[in-house]
Amino acid sequence: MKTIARLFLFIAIAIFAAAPAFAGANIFIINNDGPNEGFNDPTAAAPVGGNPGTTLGLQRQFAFVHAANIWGSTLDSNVDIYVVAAFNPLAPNVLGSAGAWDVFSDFAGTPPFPGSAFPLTWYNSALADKRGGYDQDVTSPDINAQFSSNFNFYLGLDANHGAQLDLVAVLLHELGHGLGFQNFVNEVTGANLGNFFDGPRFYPLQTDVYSQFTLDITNNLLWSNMTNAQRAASAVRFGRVVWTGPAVTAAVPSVLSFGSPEVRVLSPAAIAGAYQFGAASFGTPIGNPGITGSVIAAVDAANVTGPTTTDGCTPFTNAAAVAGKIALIERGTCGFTLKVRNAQDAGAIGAIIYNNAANAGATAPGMATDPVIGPTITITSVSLTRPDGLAILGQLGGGVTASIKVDLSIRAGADAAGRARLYAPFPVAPGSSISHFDTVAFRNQLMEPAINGDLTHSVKPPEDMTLPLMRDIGWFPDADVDGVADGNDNCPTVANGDQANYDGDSQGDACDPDDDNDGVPDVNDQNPFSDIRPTVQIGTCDSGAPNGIAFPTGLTIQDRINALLATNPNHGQLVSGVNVIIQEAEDLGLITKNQRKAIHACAAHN
Amino acid sequence: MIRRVLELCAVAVCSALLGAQAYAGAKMISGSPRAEKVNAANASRRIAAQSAPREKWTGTKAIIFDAETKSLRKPTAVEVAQMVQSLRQLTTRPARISPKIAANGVQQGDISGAFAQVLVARARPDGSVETKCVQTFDEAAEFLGLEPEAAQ
Repeated sequence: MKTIARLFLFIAIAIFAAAPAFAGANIFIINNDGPNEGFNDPTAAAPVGGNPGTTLGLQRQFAFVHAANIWGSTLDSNVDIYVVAAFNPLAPNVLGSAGAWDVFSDFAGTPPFPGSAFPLTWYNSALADKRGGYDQDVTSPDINAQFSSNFNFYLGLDANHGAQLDLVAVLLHELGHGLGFQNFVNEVTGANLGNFFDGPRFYPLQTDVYSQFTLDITNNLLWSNMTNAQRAASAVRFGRVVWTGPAVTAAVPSVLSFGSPEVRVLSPAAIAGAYQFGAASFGTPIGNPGITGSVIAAVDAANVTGPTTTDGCTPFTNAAAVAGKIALIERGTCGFTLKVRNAQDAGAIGAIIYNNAANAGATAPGMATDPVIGPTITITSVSLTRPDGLAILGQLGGGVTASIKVDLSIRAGADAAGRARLYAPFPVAPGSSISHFDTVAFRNQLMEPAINGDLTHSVKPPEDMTLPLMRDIGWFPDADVDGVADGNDNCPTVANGDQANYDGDSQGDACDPDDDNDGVPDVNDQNPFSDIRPTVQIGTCDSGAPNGIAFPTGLTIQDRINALLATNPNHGQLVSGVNVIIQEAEDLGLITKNQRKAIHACAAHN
Repeated sequence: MIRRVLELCAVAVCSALLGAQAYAGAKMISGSPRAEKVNAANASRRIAAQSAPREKWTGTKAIIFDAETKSLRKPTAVEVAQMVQSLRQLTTRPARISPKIAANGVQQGDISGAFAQVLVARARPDGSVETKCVQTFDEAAEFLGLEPEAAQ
């Protein structure tokens, strides 16, 4: 019988040993296309870039599975992730869409799964499933995705896409949104998601887990704690909205390079900070040390060339004041190059052109050159949005100092404190704003608003910060998907949700090769869970003799005495039986002669 | 003791079988009932987009690479209409979020993918494309240079 038991245990251990080191998350892509379309398109295709499909439909399937595998092998969940996907004939230039299907809040986890980490906070479906340990809605998908069957994506799996758009990179990006890289805020109004009625119950607007880590460094408020108005204002604070999650911040040094092109107001404090800017394709590019100086408004004649005194379209009338400083000029009427040339002629060391009223809602434009004036310009210039230009203009009375340079002390895509910046352009781009990394990031990141051509298929450092962000929002590493995060798991690669640990050492029973820590490996141990009380006891009598060191069989003295007691011996049988055990123990050096006598005394008095 | 060992073994085996959810890799499947909600929502959006008042939009930017001329051109009126319809369909949000409150108090917001990101592209002169991930029709239209005819 003991042999059978050992065999059974051996089988169990063998199964444990065979368990995968990295469980990942199973992703099921539900092919939602009909016959002969999309994923089922029978058009013949030559295998490309490691994609072995021989039809267009099969190549799409391989690409989808490849992208899903990258995420599936990176994130851990014991709940399958379902993606309903299709390729449909969308319009030209419309490539597809994807996102989370459902959101959940205030869900408890099936122990030891932790459930939601923040109350009254929305989680996307797949993450809610992972943290709950169960499928929150078995009738719904987690992600819905559709892509254009008209567009000529690169379908290879090797990222060698040339001028084509890499479908795998697109899929990684869009699945990333569906897995949690997005908030559920209306960035125009600042409103959170909610306003639910369920019969007479009303559920107010509530924040989401992404917003719990979105910080505006202007007012040092998290988006989860802001009013609608504060969120709407924050959404357009370029360079001042950052991610506070520790995993992303830890990844910044290994992913982002030093050298951030910055237009920065240094003083006064009220408007200090980095500003969204448009670069010029003429003059000296922004560099290091760049330029630093006082900002002064240019004044020129209001005439037919330029109808206002702020447009800089004619030679400046305050050239003496402008000399050696950075000229602030309003956009409009004449070209960018003429304005900057006039600033240069006035002796300015640089120029800032801010949007005019006609472009009040426009982003800071890129400034194109022209073949006549452009080549004559040597100074550095940038454009600003109108709100930013007016903010600077409003402070000029007290003096404004600014710099235009590549700041070698700041990583491109991070703030001065080393936190990753989120995309917060003016004007607001709902959906794009905040739910992406900033476009200034370098190296380019998977979750920037655009799919850049130099992306690899990596989602983790040192190439990418997407996985760290997933970690921050709650995708904790859990290789055995038992609900206990690897860092806290006493068997990180063997599922043991109960964390049972018989001997109290650093390894749980599920992975401990010596569960009772008696020095005899479990596979050779007649009782892997020996009675390991520190001293030998018989009834209420504590002998004080040590019990922890086992016989070569793996049984402790107490094990053997317990077995003897289980036979209901009479007094004489007990004493003689104990004597056999303890004599053997003494002979093996497990106890001393006096300790043997102490155990004998307990038996004799029982 | 043997029974205890056997019990422990049984638990261990069951735990292993239940808990060791081996990463099986992504899989394509078909015919899942989970797709039904998506199809219903897509149909609803398609109908809403098709029944909306016909909008007159114009393409103001050369965003399409013409393979024959190897140059950029503006979208035709037909292409613009197709873009508007696709974008309306993809960016239409439900007027009201359907709530569900589970018996255990869990709140579910059935957003039916309403916060889906939409990827749009415009061609560069070399035939490559510049993309942008957007969520609203207006943002997509701005990126693609689509303007309502009244604004011309």
